[in-house]
Amino acid sequence: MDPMIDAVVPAVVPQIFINMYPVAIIIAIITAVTGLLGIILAKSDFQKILLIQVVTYAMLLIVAAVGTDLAEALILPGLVVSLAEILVVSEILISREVTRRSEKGEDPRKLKLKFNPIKMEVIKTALPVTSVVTVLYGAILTGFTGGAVAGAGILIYLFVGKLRGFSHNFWEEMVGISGVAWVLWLLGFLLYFLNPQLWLVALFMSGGGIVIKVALKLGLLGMLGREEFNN
Amino acid sequence: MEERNLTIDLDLFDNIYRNLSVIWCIKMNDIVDINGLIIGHFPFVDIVPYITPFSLALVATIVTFTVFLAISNPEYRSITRFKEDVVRKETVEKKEARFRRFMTILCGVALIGVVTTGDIFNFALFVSLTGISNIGIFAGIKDTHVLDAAFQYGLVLMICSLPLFGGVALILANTGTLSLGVLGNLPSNQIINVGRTLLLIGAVGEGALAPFFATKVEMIRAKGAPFINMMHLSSLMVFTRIIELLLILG
Repeated sequence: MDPMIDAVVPAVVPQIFINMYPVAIIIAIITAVTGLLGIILAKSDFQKILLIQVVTYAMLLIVAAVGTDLAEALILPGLVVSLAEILVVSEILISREVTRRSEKGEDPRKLKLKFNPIKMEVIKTALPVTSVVTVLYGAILTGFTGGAVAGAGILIYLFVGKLRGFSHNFWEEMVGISGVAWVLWLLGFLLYFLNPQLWLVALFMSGGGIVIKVALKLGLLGMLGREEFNN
Repeated sequence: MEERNLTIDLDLFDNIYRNLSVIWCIKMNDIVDINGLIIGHFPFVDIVPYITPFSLALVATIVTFTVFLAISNPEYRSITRFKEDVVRKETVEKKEARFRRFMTILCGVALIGVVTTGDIFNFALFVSLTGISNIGIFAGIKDTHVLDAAFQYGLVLMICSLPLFGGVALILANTGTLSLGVLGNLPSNQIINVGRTLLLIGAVGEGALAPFFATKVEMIRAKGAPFINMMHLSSLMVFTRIIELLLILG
């Protein structure tokens, strides 16, 4: 076996996982080539933006192929960067369209985008109990993954059926709690750097903070879709 | 049994911490060879931003430039046309100028991060932030031609995030670390060289260096002169830093 792999990979990692790394890299390269071919063949600019997501997935695949905790932590900034780039480029596309049409003599104020929620049957017919199960499972998981799972539960609660109990003000307060939890997460990380002896407290602070923050943020996304908040 | 495990873990952590600081104080061969002595560093375990005489000069340039741009007003461009007896003056609206000034300052902050960071993933993040804020300077312009060029630059940015982060991930997978201080002492091998090449391609795309410069030239024809000069500075700084980084990794 390669001495370099011996030095970097711990002995507890089975050989099969080490062998998966080149496969993952090859899959990422195939994905990237597919996406780039699509961009070459695409006709409209909007299609190009959609297809460029495939290239971004290839980037995430290469980072994820490392397969350590550090790689898991690196995926999130990579995702955020690609999202920011997509937002910027689509904003430029919109402003170019508005400029083009106002040069032709149309009123640019008429081009304002409207919010049209998708009407899906499954949203109306799904069981509301699913949300309770999902939130409980998310609370057990904790951390970022748990936050995402619990947030999906809150999304289900907000999408399915009618509003029960929680008022508009309640969700407004949830925004505040989400902010406080985020601060807790940051403080936990700071404590971990400043005083490593208190790693357990720091771990619980950041783990608990991130579960609340991510869950409520996803829930707030669902809140935007409800009619009573859009007036 | 649990108690004993806990203490062992803490000892291990202390050892790693001490070794890392030793590495940063004494053993930074490549960095010291290229840049001169390290004036100061912030010991955040292995995320260590450092300052050498070389990067101090770069930081001073960036800060001076950014401050000058932040306090300056947008240009007045006078336009004369054939068969018209008027000289028209054009400038940027106040709201748009404020947004561009903000983006310029953001770009300056990102550039300071680019030249001082001691962690290749942070380098990749700061370089992409530079690219995003560069586009942000141009996003509000009411000119179809400039917006077309900005859109093309945006496509190049998004495609080039693949080699940039891919190169970083390859180096991480091969060496197990992202810290420049550790990487500077490691011998180079073929996979690290592939990672270096990918990093170079990524940085060239994000900073709009040589082959992608065409889009940038079109964008610079926009009005609002002082702020768009930030693009030139960002190209220069990303170029300087990526050369230094490639030398340290090699």
